Amino acid sequence: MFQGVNHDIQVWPDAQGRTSWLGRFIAYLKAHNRLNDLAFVSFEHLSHDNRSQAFYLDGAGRRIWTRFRQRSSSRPPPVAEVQPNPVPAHDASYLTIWTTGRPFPTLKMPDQTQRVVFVQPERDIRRDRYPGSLLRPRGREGLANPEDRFSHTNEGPLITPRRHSPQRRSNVGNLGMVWVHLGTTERSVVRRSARKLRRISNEFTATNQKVASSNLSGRTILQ
Amino acid sequence: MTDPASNYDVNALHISWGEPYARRYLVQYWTGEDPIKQPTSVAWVTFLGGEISSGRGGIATLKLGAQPMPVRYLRIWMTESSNTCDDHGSADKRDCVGYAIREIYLGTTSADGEFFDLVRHTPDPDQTTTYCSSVDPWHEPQDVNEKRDQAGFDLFYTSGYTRGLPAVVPISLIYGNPEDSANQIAYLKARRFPISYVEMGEEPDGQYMLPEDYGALYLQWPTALHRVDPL
Repeated sequence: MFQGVNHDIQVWPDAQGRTSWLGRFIAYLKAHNRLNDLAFVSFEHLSHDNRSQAFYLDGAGRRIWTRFRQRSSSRPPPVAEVQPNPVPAHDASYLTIWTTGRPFPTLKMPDQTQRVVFVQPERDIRRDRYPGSLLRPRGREGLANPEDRFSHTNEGPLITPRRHSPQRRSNVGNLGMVWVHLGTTERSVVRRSARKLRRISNEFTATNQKVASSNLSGRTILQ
Repeated sequence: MTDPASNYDVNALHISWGEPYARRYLVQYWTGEDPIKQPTSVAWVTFLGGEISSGRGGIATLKLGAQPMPVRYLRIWMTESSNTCDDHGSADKRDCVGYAIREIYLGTTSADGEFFDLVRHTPDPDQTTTYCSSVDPWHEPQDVNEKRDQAGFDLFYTSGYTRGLPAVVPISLIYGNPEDSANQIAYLKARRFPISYVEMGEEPDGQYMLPEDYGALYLQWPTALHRVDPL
């Protein structure tokens, strides 16, 4: 995560005096021969200090890209900026994509705004605006939640609602959700989805208890 | 790491360990201005009596130095766990890994052995500031905040947002465990919700977690996820 900075997050030096969080993380994966596990790398950029968005994103994305190239002989994975949380001065939300040069469909669930960025420095930048107010689905409504603990039994997937994660405050927390797919028209996708989502949300609110007790196949998933 | 907000003379530390406790750890002080905002300006220095290689848990009484010295920031760097289980038993390994400290008492010990504690132990924001590099992944039903928006995967996948296309799915890493994440993916697969990629983790730097510790988690998660989805 980057907030108000355009460089590596620095940490207390290790025995070798290394202080780059990202550099040490990459070095650790490389030392264990697991760097290729990463299909993409995402980062957040919280621009609370009201500086240039483009400067931030470009700089931070390039920084990560460069770190990988320095530490790996293989091709760096795509880099995604997934939670910029633009400052209030931005009256609308953004969606930004730096194309990766290969199909990389994604959704992202930002806290308050809707921006997805994929970085490959040598490619062009695409950017669209989203009406952020349309992208606030209603809350739990008794539905399966990514922060719930999941149990998988012989009888099928069951959700056990007895334990929950504080990660609700993070990127799977108070969500607006955006679907982005290269080659689609993002704006029309969102408008259509937002209308449908509001309708679904209202229905779920009215029938919360009913929805909470059964899933699509009729199996009880939440009590 | 503790921050009592200003320099105090220190030569003694009492640690009330839970289970599991640290067998091997260092008690260190910071010689610079701010280890959070300026983490690379200097390095941590181990107290003369701050290297423990055979901790036994319980209440550890450490004499950090012969004479009190002015210290503001202190950290306990734990590197070997006892892996002894707490009173929940061994059914869940999370009850038996890592480290548990119930309370710390930092201050001075006089010549006659009397201990003067500098730490504020109040159960409110006035307590002495303490930073932890990780958190307990246990959560209880009362932890749920119903006032926050929390969309679920079922709503997301059935809302029309994805248009039936695969989606990137987040899993909890620092606050979770590999089995939960694997079960989450198994759940989505069982419901035939298409997945393109899995995004692991969240703001590790903001948790003061060392990159090597975060990397160690990264080695475990893909292994567990690939068991349910070889990709």
